[in-house]
Amino acid sequence: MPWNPLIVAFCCNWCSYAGADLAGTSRLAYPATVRIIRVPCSGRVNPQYIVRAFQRGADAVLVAGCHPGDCHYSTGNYFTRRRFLLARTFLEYLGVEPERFQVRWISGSEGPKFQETIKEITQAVRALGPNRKLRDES
Amino acid sequence: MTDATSQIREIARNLLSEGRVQTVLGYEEAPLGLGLRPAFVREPSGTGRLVFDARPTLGLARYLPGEIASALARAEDGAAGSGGTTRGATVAVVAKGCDVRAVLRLVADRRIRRENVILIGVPCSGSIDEERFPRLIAKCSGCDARLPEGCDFTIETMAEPRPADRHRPLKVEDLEGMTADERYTFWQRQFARCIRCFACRSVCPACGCRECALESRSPVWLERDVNPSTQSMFHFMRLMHTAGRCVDCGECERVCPVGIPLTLLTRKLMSDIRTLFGVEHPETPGDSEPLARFGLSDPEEFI
Ligand code: SF4
Ligand code: SF4
Ligand code: SF4
Repeated sequence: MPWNPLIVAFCCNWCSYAGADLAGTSRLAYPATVRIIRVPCSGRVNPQYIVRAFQRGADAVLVAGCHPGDCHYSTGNYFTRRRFLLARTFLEYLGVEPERFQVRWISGSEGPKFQETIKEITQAVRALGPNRKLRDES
Repeated sequence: MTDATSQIREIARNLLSEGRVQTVLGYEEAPLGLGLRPAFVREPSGTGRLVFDARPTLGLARYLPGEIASALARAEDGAAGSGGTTRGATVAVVAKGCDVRAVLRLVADRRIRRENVILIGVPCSGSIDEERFPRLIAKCSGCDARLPEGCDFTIETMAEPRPADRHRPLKVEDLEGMTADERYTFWQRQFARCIRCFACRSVCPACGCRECALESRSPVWLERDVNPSTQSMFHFMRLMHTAGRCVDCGECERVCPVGIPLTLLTRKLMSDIRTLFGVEHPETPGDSEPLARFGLSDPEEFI
């Protein structure tokens, strides 16, 4: 069976999940590489979730939330931004390729942006090949 | 000027005999010439045991929450008997610059109150054991905390910094210059040595949760079986949980029995916090730590 990238996407309930939904109802095609996990807010995503996703076989992880300023809880995504700026440089320092962990702001009306994001990440991960780093193979 | 040991003994004797503290936390000779070990001195007559010199010592901040709690409990018992108050229920602690920051970490995290501690600061030239291992220990290289600040007492000693060591070949920048694969291999080799004794966590003044996520059984974050993936998860968690609150005391690295260069990880986080969020001294405990807040003008790299 040919290898297909597996992307785990943590989408905030209020914006990015709605954006993904809109991509679906608008029949915007994107690769079937993504598994969406709905979270109340991108600020709910614990950096451990990223490592856990890599452990269980993700080739890339996406955290998607409302644009800064648009958070349903006012400030959740500002914490997200700070936390994941740091988590990203740290993962890179541990040796994970930066393409494999991404954060995007996708609003509820940005179906096409969701589509584009999944296309882009899928392409980048295809170029890198399957991820073995941090994977639990035991 | 008398040496540090005599000065510490005198301060300790006065504090204990005046009833200003119930315990002095300091150091004494361990049996068999094994170096300095923590000493809990509770009577003026015990102060003769106290010793201090350049030999590496365990930071004592970790003992403060427990020692202060029992001092307060004893004082309350005493107060109930004599109709007095709980004043004077304090603990004095001998601290180098790095240890002072560790104590202030506990204060900032509200694990202890500043008024329950008396800080006996000792200027430090860097830890070294002339007889057993005549080299500056790694954490002291480049330390800028040699003169303890904000102490209640400060020992008078000469604290000329010892020259930096030569046995620390790698720095954060060296690793940053490698490729992702090289860094991955480097860290996997380091983590493979880890026996998960948790000493790095237990000694850390920034690790204070009553229930540690590393030991959580529901959900299980850290599996018991040891493989490269779970080893990485352990280190990632410990580092992320202390990011922004690490005081750069270097104790995690110093106590690690297998010599993992843990300050190469803590200092990377600190340097990124500095450059990304403009926090000049992330190692100094404050009212609100870098990851407990945000800046509206934080870098926007996520589009
Ligand atoms: S880290 Fe600094 S203050 Fe602490 S023992 Fe080393 S030189 Fe002294
Ligand atoms: S002290 Fe060293 S060996 Fe022990 S758990 Fe920490 S890194 Fe692993
Ligand atoms: S992570 Fe290490 S250097 Fe930082 S506060 Fe904890 S023990 Fe000290």
